[in-house]
Amino acid sequence: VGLTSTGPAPADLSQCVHCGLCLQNCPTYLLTGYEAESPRGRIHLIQALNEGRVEPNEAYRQHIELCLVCRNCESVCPSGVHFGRIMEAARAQLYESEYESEKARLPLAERIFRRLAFHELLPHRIRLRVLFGLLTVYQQSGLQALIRASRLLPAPLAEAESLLPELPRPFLPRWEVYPAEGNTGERQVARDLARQNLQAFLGRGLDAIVVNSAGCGAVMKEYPELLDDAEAAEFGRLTRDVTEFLASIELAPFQRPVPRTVTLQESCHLVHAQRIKDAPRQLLAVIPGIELRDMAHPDLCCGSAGLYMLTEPEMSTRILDDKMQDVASTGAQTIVTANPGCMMQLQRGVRRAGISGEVKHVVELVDEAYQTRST
Amino acid sequence: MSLADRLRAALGADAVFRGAEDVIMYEYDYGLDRAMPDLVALPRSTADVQVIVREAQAAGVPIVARGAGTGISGGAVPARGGLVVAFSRMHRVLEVDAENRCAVVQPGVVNLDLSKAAEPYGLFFAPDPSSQKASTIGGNVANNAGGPHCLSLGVTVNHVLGLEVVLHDASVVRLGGKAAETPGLDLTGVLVGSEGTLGLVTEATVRLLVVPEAVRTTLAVFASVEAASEAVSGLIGRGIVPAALEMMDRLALSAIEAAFHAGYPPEAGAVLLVEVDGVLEQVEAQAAIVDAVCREAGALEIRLAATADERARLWAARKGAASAMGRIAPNYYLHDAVVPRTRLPAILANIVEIGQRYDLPIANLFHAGDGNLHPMILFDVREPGILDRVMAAGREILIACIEAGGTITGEHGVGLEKQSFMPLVFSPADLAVMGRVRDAIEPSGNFNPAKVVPAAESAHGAPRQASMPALVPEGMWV
Repeated sequence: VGLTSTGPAPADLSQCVHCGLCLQNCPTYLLTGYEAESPRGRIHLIQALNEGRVEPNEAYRQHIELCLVCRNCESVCPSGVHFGRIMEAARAQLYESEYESEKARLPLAERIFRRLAFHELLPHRIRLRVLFGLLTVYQQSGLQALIRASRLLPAPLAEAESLLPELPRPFLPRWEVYPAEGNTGERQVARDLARQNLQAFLGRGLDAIVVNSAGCGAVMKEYPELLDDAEAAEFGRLTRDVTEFLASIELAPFQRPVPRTVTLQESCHLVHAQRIKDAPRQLLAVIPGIELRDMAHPDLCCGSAGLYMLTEPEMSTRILDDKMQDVASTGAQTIVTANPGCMMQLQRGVRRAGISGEVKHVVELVDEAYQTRST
Repeated sequence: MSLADRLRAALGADAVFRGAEDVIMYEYDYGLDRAMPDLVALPRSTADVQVIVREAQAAGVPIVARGAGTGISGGAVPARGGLVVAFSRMHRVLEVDAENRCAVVQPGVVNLDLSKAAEPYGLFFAPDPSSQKASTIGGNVANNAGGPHCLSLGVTVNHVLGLEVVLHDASVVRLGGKAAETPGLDLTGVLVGSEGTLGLVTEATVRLLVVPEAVRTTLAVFASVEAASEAVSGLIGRGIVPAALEMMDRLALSAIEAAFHAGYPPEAGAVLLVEVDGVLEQVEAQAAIVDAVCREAGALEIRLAATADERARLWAARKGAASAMGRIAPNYYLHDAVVPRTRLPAILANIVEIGQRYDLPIANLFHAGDGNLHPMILFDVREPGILDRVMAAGREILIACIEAGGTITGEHGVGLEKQSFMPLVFSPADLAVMGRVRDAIEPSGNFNPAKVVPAAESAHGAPRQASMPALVPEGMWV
């Protein structure tokens, strides 16, 4: 079932049997206890809109936008409801319904610009304020480097590649790789960006396209749904999360132990969207010196969720503060995760909680174990 | 000031909701009935609940309690509109009293969370409805919930020691308590299973049991439901009361395995999941008998769960099974009925025949040990006229169960769904007594109206009506 401009596919919606087994896996339901902020409630609300029983008003918008799209509900749904797909289509429907008239007459490039500028950013003064505020904080706190690292694939790719002497010479595209945001409802933008990535990567005899951002990887693996052609299918087939890739090959002997007590935050886009649960644990288990202490609910979202920490700062922070309590009770000094967005959020959490601690990508610990000298 | 405003003033703006976009997700539970509430309130304390009852009673509005909305009989569906009181924010385990083997909990505590809280003490809460990872103790109490392990351990009413209840006049009473025995009328027992028609439970004191020393879980595969039923009769005949004895038929298995990959054979005619627990020696002996009886009944394959992990996966799949039916049908009517164990093979053949006659696929998964059936009639609601067929087939199944000496619900409650069947199992005199008890404890008739006791028998009952619209236009009093 592909995406439609008329909202989620009826078959997708009717797959939900409203049993409620998702409730306790939904971060926003756990915090609010309010059915409107649960997966089942959201699906029902979306269905009601498509039956003409509710209006796409401000209340509707708030319930739809408060969803993290962490897709934890998808992981636990016995009926296999494609929640991410439903929410993506519902958001597209909501935004399109609001901007239908002005959009139709404009050329593509301008539509994209208008969509981003007038629709995603400018109408949301809070978003802008928060965005600029956070940017300032990040720059002053030295986190900007981290953001940059998260945006540019070549450097981290090279880092991962350096561990793997048996691979062919790494291909470093000059393109910036666009983390096509699947969940903001900007489908045409996502398609255009995806096309650019296909051009940049395909036809070069690659064995794998390794990505160190679980969020990007999840979207890249779903290109076949976005574009529905053979190239996209090939791209999706080649894409590997870096932890998935490293866990699937024979690793060269490590050089030194990494004496750390760590706790793992399983990035939602890895564990729920890509359904990769074991790979990061396998890597942590083989790195000498690492002791893993699991927190309660390692598979529950940290509140980062792409742009969510900018668009829904209050809920994002409440989720984060709960997460940091779970982290603190493990006594671990290092939070390990698999996605740059989660790293930024968890860094913020460490600062907010006023605890000493560091946040690392799994692959950074792998890298440390390969350093010949102490860094 | 409107009722909504008065409640907001007392409970806070984030605890009271109105308007379709904010309350439409309280029109359903896991069943088929729907009805829109006019208001939803999320209390945080007994005091909040008292305010809600006082204000709602002053406005003359129906008051409908809701836990997690995982019930299947429409018990939490506000049949006459009004105010839904959802207990999801009252979710604290107040005390685990390991020495007295009990716990004191708020009604919104999730069933499985209670057992997790008791785990460090080697204790657990026995009633384990398949919804236990989401359903609440309050909802379990309201429906007198069962579960696979209730075969040997009893249903919710056997595990509730005491209740704190807010009554129709907003007063608070405490029934029972930690003491093992209480004199006088068993009002705690009356409240359990009353589905929110008598009062709102704001705290429960529940029994905890010691986690058994040893567990053996056997998966036995059969060519047919008849062969599996024979094994059930054989086990009971040998004097074994397993901790759980579950059957799943072929149609159910196909969805289960697609959803969980837990090792169930999707092509089998039927499987039994048999669990025995207790002290190690006894468990080993019983597991050997289970093995022998299943072989005698012609089991094609018998597998003993080798690890705790394998056992957990088998159970996770069994408990998620009903919810997995969305994979093979857009809609289904999950029934709940009971027959004497000996009548299982006959009634299952009967259900197959009814399904064929109405041209409706019916999947079966059920608690074979106590004859508690869960036929699931699969359908697509978009097919014109199909609901009538589904309802008629369901009615025939229930009547067949009654004629076999059974009854209309084992553990899901009466709610809206089963009200019209009550006269089939109770005499007018029986129902009149129930009606009088209800009216004596809750004379206002505003607590979950149109539930449990059929219309004529209570001064305030009402006939069953699915998808009944709210009777009071929005804005009149809310």
